[in-house]
Amino acid sequence: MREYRTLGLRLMVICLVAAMALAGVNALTAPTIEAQKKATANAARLELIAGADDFLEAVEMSRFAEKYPDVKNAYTAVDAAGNVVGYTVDLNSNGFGGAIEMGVGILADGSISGMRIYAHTESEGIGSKASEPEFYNEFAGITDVSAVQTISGATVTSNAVIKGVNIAQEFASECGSVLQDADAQIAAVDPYEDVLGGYLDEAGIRHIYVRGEGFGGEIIMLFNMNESGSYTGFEMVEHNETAGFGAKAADPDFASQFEGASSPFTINAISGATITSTEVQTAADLAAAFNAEKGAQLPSSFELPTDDGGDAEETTEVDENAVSATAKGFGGDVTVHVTFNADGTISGVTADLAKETTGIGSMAGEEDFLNQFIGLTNADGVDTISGATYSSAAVIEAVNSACANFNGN
Amino acid sequence: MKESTKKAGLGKVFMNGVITENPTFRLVLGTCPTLATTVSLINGFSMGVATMFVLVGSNVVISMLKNFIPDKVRIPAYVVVIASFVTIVQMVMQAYFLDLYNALGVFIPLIVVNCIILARAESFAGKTENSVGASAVDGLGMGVGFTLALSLMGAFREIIGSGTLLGNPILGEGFAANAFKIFASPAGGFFTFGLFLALFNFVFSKIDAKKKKA
Repeated sequence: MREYRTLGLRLMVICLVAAMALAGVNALTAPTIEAQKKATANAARLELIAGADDFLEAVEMSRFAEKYPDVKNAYTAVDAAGNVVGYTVDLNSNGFGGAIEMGVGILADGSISGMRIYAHTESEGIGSKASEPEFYNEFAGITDVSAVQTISGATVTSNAVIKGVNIAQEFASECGSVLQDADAQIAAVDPYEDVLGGYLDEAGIRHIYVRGEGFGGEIIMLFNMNESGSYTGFEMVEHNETAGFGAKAADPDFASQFEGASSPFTINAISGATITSTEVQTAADLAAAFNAEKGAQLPSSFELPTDDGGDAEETTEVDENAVSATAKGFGGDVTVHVTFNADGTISGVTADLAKETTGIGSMAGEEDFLNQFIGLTNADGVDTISGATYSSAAVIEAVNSACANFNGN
Repeated sequence: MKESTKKAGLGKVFMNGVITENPTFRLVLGTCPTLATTVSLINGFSMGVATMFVLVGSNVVISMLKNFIPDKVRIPAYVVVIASFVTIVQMVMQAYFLDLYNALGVFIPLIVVNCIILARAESFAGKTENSVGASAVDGLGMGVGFTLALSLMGAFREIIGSGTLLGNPILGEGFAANAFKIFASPAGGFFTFGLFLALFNFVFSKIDAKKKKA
């Protein structure tokens, strides 16, 4: 017993002395290390706002997390006299290969003073060009990011960076002045973001359109409600749900349960269509809340924003074994002409890419790319062309819709 | 008389670390930092010096404490001493040699697990027959040997792999632009290490053969 006490005690003495020695060295070096770290960090920020004297870290960044989830950090740049010069905003934007970590300097007048990309996983030689001076220097000194030329062949990456800069601008203009004020709160996210709008008819019924994310994509629902908060009707305006399951939400049987129901109302879920049902429930609650708060202010007429057909592909002609289909590419519509074998496999594809960029998007019209479809029954498994993502994705999409149409007939 | 034998003994202890039992090329200890940090002369040299500081410091302290440290817990006690010196090196480098600190990165804290240091503590400094002075000289000798080995490898890899020495293009700009880049990469570390090991083994086998004849 005594031996163990000695062992422990001696080891403790050694540790104690070591800890004291380390504390001493730490006390000597810590101020220098701190100053070094700050200088290193400020050197990166000086790239964004040249001429700033010091950068003050924002307090309580979590205040902004809900509205600006991509903004990681922000600093207030001040000059020697302590006047605010501008702000640096560090944020992530989703590019082609993943998150692009970038920093943006915004001057007090809202103009951009600099942009740098710190880390990215974009394609080497294509998207990676966004981190080169030729691209990032475009941002310096401008206020309107729409003037920035995207990098030819790296549209997705460029757009992600531009979007990031735009977010940084919005963030700086909304939150810049309160970065150092821990108590100031910013306006929360609009709770009615998914309410598309609505109108008040002569009978005083509020027609409220709500969008949701169903199993098969976006769904648009219409809830009719009266002043007292009861539902008078429900309609599934647009959906792409599975027939026999989610699509049942569009049946009159389903809609009828809303008639006369007072909110809050728990809907009878459709068996086998959990996602659709949950979405309808969420939308119903949202419509009720919207009705209670803003129902009386609805205008007397409302038109649903029409889908601009951005992604909607149309199939134009079907003859016995050839189908043409169109999808939206980079420069305009891309039309493909697909021929099929008797067994439903693709025997050939030609594409009209007249509106795509020559040398880039036009690659999606070359045999190397199009021959990949031969022998397949759909376009899944064909990869987009690096640098011509939009154009090749449009061809793939159009081929897919041609296949779907061929099989449907 | 007594004084001179002691000096000769210390000289032998020192040269033992530098040549006869060179930690890198003869004992093949501490290969991890050897391979990783020898991309340039300055990196290899700094790593060697940092390790030497820890070696000498821990050897001296452990030798002083060898009667205080109970045998049963000597390894944890050694590790505490070594880790303290490594932390001191780390903090000092971060404060005053930031470029080197960034270049050597994670390999500075990893000096803790460099087996040369624990090996010297265990096999030399912790032995009752070795005095504090002898332990210091042993640490210094081993440290110099390690530093020389790393500097040699660093210089070789920098010249062949980057065409520079201490950042200067000594073989001309043309060579620097088209250097054997693989020697600056981790794979080149293995190549270089193998070449040097072969060279040392060759030289020492010749010496041994001569000794046998004589």
